[in-house]
Amino acid sequence: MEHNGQPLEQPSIPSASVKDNIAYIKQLLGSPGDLLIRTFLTADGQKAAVVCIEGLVDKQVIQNQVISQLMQESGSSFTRTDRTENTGQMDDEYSRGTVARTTEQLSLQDMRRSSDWDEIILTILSGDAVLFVEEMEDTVLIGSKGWKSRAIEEPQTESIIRGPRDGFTEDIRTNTTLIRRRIRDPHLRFDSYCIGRRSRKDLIVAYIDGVVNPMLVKEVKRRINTIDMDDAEGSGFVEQWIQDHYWSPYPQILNTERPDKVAGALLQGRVAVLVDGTPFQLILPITISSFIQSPEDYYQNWILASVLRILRVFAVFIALFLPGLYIALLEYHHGMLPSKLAFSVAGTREGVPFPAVMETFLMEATLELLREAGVRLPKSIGQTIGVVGGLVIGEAAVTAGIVSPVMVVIVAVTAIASFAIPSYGFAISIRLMRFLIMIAGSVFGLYGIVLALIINCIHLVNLRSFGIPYTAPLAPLRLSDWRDLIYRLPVIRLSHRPEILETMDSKRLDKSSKKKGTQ
Amino acid sequence: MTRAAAKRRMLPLLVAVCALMSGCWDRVEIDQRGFVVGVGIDEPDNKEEGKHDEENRKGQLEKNQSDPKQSFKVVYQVVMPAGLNTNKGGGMEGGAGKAYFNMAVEENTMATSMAKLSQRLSRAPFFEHLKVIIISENIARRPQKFAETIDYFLRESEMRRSTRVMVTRDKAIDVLNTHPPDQRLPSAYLEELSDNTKESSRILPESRIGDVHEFLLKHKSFAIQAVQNGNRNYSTMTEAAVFNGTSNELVGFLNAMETAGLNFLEGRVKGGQIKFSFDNRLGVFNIERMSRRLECKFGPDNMPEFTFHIRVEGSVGELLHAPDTLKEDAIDNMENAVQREIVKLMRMTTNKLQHEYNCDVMGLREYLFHNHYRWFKQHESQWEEEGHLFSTRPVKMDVKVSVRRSGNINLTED
Repeated sequence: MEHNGQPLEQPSIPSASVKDNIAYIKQLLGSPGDLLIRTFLTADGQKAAVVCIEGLVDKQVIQNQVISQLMQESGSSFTRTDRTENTGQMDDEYSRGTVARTTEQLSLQDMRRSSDWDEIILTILSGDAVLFVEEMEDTVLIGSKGWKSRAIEEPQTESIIRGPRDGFTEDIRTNTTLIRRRIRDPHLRFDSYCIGRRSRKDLIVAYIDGVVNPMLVKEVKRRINTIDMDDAEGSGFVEQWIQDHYWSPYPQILNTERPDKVAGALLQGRVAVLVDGTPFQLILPITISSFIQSPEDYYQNWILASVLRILRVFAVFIALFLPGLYIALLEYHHGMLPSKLAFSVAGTREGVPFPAVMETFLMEATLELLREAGVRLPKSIGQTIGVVGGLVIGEAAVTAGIVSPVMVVIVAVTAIASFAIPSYGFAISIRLMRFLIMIAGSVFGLYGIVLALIINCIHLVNLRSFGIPYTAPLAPLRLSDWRDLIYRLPVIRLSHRPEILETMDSKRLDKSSKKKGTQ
Repeated sequence: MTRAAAKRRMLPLLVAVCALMSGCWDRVEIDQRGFVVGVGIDEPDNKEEGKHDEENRKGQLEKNQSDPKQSFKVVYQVVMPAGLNTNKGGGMEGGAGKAYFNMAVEENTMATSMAKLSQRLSRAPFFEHLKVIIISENIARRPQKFAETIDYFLRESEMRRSTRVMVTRDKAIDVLNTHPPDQRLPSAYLEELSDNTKESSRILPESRIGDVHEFLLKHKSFAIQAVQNGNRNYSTMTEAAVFNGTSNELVGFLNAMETAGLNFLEGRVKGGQIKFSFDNRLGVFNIERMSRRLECKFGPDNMPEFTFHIRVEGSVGELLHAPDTLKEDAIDNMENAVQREIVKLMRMTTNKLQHEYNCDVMGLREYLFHNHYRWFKQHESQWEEEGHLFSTRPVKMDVKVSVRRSGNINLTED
């Protein structure tokens, strides 16, 4: 750890003198105002000090479990009793003095010893406390993290009607708890990493051993180990660092605020990457069909869920093609509209000064502006902007004769369709593609739209997410995965995990234990 | 730089050139199109054209210079989309604006007449929404003229093969000016009217220009819809225009009853009513479905005789006296009366076709072609033309009518 250029005469291990140690820490951290140092004498009369950062620690723990215990009860009072069996092994290792034994008897759950300065400093900065005792080279690291964190709330970006309401928070411990509470499998693994040269953030790779394909886990870990940057800002940096194709507009890793989504993905044989400091956790690998699926599909009747999924497929197509088609049909292929529609569109466009291309780009750009403004604005005003933008501007533009009423309908339908896509990241990509298709449609008409679609398809089949083809159950055809793709079969029929993930344990339910009638 | 690298460098340029220089050349705004929905083809009028101008157009169309060299007077019906909008906003004129205008051009070819039209209109004429082509009797009666007329409408790539072709005894321009108050476009009105075969047995199935083209190529006699009574408020389509297959010229019309007979002969009746007399009072039979089978027997002279087996099902639509419609003999009586009426209709049609027009539009030639090809090949030239085989073939009618329902009631009064 080569912290700020200032050369320090770094002792490799803490010295026996509390004073020296404190001096060193102060020097290293630059005596910040939030550094708490409490020196005291133990009941045995030895000098001791607790060092921690204010705001990150739970002061109650340090006060009650550490300082007061050490000050009031002398070590001998412990050793002379018959409790030696409790500390039996420890006694052999630490025969230094009574205090050393005393520290073993602190009523703390999370406690370990260390004599590595790097570890000690990181411990302090992560919110734990460090106890130095005179004449003892080991220091005691006390797990006393206790900062203020946001309560578990309903996810902001992925609300559903039926299903659990809890969402991830910024605190990684809370998040792992949320997942553990859903999966009590002893094989659930949380492998911790520390990323960011300076930020030293916690990152956890979660998977279920025995389900997930070990090659996948290996590859994920390999990529995570390559991360080398100052700070991993949220999960976005991690996502962009480890994804396969960084020049593609399509997200290859799913981010979610919903623990049930993560738990479901883990049980399917996927891997989740949890990053500290953000409620958005990553699920990988994914295929393009993940974007039209919502956890709600599994909570509802399968017929409803299937119909809703088909509806979402339509929504994707509308959001992608509708304005482009409008341009193409109005600029080139007037014969493809039914006669009455053609006349009525021509009639409403009478007196509109812009060509259909201009009109469409104008309105779509306005819509994107409104959307962007709506995100930035304070929540209370955000609602108003929707109404003002959607209704007032649209209505006013029509009466002013700048755009035709049909255009307003097209823009509105497109916007609604793009909100029906469950994944926000995918919806953004669709927004971008929509503009490309509008350009293609305005230059080449329907021919251009078809070209753009073909280019898109070529791009999509070339994409991979951690080695899994992006268009997976469709393009490398895996018919058994179609049971949970565009439609979802009854739960009893979803007997296997996705074939494309090549899981170790492919069966989700044991058919043989069922009655014969099911097959 | 290697050759491959140079090529690779040219690629973006090529793409850019393709995109920037080739696109957009077909781009026309939808509101810059002059949608032509109807075309009427008349003979150029000689003396009385001034009178027509007064009647039909209000002077915003220039006078037609009567040029004896020109052989067609083509009337184009162009939509005014703003006039179609019924809502108050947008449109410059109120709800009741005119939705179309007709413009007449005299020329001797269709393509040049179109060119002349575009010289006069600011908006490029656009034919993909063309609904009807109406050809006046005088044009259609001249040999070969009919085919010449529709050549342009078949050849031009903008044209659709589903456009309806109709013949009228009146002036085509008059027909193109008729519409009932609920319809704003005469052409759309005519198109919808021509589909009303479910309501009436006296309307021939729609005559699409593609089908007509087929008939012309096959040298087959055919009948297409004829429209008449072109007055301000309505036209009717209860006639059929019969074309001779060899000369491709119009030989005459079938009136409403005969058209119904032809529909029965061809088995294409989808609905409609048959009026019958029953105990000297009137009754009406609603046709619901029918089937037709043609049978052909060769006599000792190796000449075919035809029998039409017709089955008609339907219900009682109206009775002007009160027999008990549930009694079996009453039903039998009604069935017989209807049967007689249908045979009468078919007889009228066959008489006219065989003896007056000598045009086989009722499908006998087709039947022989499909089922007795060898015989047909030997006698093909004698069928209609020289041998008059068609007009001398005996045709029998075997009609069976079943009254399926008496309607919702049995008796009106007791």
